[in-house]
Amino acid sequence: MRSPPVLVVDDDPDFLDLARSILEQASPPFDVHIVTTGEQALSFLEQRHPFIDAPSPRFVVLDMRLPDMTAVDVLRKGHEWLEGIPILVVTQALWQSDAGAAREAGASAVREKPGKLAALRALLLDFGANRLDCDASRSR
Amino acid sequence: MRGPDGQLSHHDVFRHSVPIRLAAYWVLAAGCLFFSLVGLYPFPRLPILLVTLLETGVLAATYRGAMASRPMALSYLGAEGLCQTAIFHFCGELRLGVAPIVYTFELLNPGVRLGRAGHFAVANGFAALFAFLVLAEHLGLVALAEPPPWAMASVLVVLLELNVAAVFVSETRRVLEDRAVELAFARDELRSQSADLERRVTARTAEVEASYRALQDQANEHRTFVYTVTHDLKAPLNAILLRADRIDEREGTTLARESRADLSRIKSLAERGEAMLRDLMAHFEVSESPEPPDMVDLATTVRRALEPLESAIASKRLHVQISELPAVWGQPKKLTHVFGNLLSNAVKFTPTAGGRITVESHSDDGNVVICVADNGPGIPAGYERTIFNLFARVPTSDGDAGYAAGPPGTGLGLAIVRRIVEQHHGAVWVESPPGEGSRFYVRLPRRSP
Repeated sequence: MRSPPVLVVDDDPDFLDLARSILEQASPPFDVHIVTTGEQALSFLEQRHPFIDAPSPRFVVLDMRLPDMTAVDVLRKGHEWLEGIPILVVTQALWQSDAGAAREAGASAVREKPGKLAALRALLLDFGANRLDCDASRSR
Repeated sequence: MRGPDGQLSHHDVFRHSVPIRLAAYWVLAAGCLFFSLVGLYPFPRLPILLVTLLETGVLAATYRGAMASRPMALSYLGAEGLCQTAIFHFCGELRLGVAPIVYTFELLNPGVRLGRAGHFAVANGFAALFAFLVLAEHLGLVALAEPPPWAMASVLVVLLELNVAAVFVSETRRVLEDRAVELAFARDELRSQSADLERRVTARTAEVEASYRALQDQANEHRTFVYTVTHDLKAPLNAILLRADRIDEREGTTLARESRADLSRIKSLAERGEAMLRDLMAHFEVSESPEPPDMVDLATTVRRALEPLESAIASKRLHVQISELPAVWGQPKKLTHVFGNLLSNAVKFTPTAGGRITVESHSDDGNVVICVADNGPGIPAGYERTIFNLFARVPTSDGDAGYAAGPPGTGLGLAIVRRIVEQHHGAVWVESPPGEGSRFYVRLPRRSP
């Protein structure tokens, strides 16, 4: 059986490293795909070059602040391709106004990046297993 | 005294009077025709109809000219007088009674601007026309009904009556015109004043809007700055914490005791840094977020600020006493934050046995001073000013059990308090006589400055 694909979008190598190891060590493991910019994330979702063979992800972990755009921009531009895909928006520092904007744009949940490995593991795996209480005001 | 608007309003009056005058002629003509048709009085229908038609034409064709120049006005009145005299001519026995009334009416014509002399000229011109009519009858030049014996005397009556009317009309008109000119001047003045006021309001509004925009830009810039700083500082702290966790998970049991101690010290240091950033963000969200000002009842504010502290107050068995507090003009959430912070400090640093917190206020000219006092260890001498600085901490002295026992803070609370109070154009300071606890004072203006 093939591992379910997951897309992680972030430019922080530490977070990517840890997220990858958590998701790949899950049981069953996830097929982790990593991109570091909003433009790459959109190309991946739209299966454009160089991601022509990209699978449709089971879920997406999206950093709020990317080098080229914000998570809200990605959610708005990729609206069509993100239909039905759960999206976890993570951020280093959570501002309530940003969280509202992201939810409005279609994020399933907006969370601060945990400072404990156990908490990060629980967040990613619970979200992957659909066990996370998603924010009520999701407009998708 | 002639205002530029006096002429204009006069023209308006005259223009509006024209249809009324036309209607009056036709009502008069229709009355004559009616009386002749029902046989009450034998008016000659066709001549009256024709003369009325002629009069209408004269009036319609010349009224613009009559407004513009005095000779035109006089000839206009002359034509009117002739037309009416012709009508009287056909009125038979009634002519001697009708003529003075209609001449007087004509003299009141608002369309013609004549001086006193002009009015007398017109009055006597009409009287001459009337005299001519009577004389022509008398001499048998025109064949009318039998002239009454007092026909010649009526000429004198008409002469007198029209001259009296001319005096009356020219006087009344002069008074009315003066008033109209005064009104026109007043209206002009008012108009220019209101235009000036409007200009000033517009300019001031633009000024206020511009400064509001500038403030908002500044706030946004500030916000972006704090956002970036907290975000960028949190990322490495988070990474340190997560990596340390990973080492702990992977090899925690096999590490040497010293390494384990170092690792946990690394974690606690990073956690402290993270807590400071978290506090900075939370406080910043309160102090920098826009909030419309309103009248703030400080009694409600203090009550609200005490709510989250109730369990701590109960468990430390503190005595809290709140005196009567006034209302001030300010931002309710931010002021709640100010008193929440001062009260939570008081709760934190007041001893469990016999702890006492009071909130009082007094007014000095235009300001309200609120004092939050406790009987805790107080502020060590020399730190009364610096405790309001960002990240300021009061060192623990050996004999100062209160501070040693107090939970560690991040040194942000009082800095935010000062920032909010200063945003309200107020001031905050502390007095701490040795052994008497600390007294935090907040001075706020009663009204917006």
